[in-house]
Amino acid sequence: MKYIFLYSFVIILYFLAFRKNKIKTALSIKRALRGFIIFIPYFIQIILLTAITLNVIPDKTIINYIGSGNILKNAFFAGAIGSMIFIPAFIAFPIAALLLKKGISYFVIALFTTTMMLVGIITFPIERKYFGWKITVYRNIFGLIISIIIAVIIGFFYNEI
Amino acid sequence: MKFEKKYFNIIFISAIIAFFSAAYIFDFQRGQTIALLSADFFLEVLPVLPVIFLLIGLFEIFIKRSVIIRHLGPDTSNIVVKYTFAVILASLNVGGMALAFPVAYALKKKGADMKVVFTYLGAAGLVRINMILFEATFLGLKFTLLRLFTAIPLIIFAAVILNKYFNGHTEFSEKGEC
Repeated sequence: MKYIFLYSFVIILYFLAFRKNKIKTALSIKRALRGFIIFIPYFIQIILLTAITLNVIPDKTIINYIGSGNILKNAFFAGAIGSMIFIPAFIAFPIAALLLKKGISYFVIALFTTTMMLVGIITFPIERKYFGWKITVYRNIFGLIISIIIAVIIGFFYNEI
Repeated sequence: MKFEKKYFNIIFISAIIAFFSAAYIFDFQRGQTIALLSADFFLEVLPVLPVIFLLIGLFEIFIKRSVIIRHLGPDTSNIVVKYTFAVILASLNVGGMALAFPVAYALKKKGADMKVVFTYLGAAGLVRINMILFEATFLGLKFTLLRLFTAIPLIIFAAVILNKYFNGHTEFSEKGEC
């Protein structure tokens, strides 16, 4: 239901495209189908790995590693776990909010969420498929560096560093 | 090798179905939870998938290469437009970085500058609209805005650096370039 605007938008676009050039419109659909079919196995792979990770590593463990002890250890594990995992936003942020309540610094939380969203070992297969090994590795390394910088700046603003 | 790749999908998906069926038949609790969790995630993102690929299809067939190269290409005349476009496009993304890869690849194939593609990829991870709303709800507006304003320049900066390494890079060329 919430996607009704999106669907209407696409339907209108295709309607206009159809009127302009039927053959090209058919080609577009064909191209869309091909892209979809190439994409789906990798996507299912990611989802399965995510579900398995979430199941095998319960929330408690994550909270344990990131949520107690000295700040450097927390930061290290936040970055490490965040890089390895690909959690959807609606699960990640409640966990982050829980960590916040436990008193974890914003620095660690920023590191955690940023690496989770930007860097991903789980997303390696699909990124490698589309862009090749080198870009995948370099982009993720830079992503990690960026995440650390962002987290440090945020920690600075919250007077934690 | 070619034989393997062709049947990879079918084998993979059959294996999944077999595993989940076995999990239910043998009442394997862990397996069942994993199945439900996966189905949950999958259904969360599924409504958007066909739409995104339909849009990519239209983009690939109808938009001329010259248009993209003129507006988003390596020429340095309209820098602000290029990066703004990349960030705005990325903010419209829903459901994770995985979905950003096909779109980024389509852009690259059409001749967009790698700086733009990398900015889009980076921003697709960090600057999504629905994610920003979530974040503000759970972690506070100050945190969200702070993260946003530090992330965007850094993403662009990293994109420029990555561009120096990877200009003119072509992997995964499908047949039927346009």
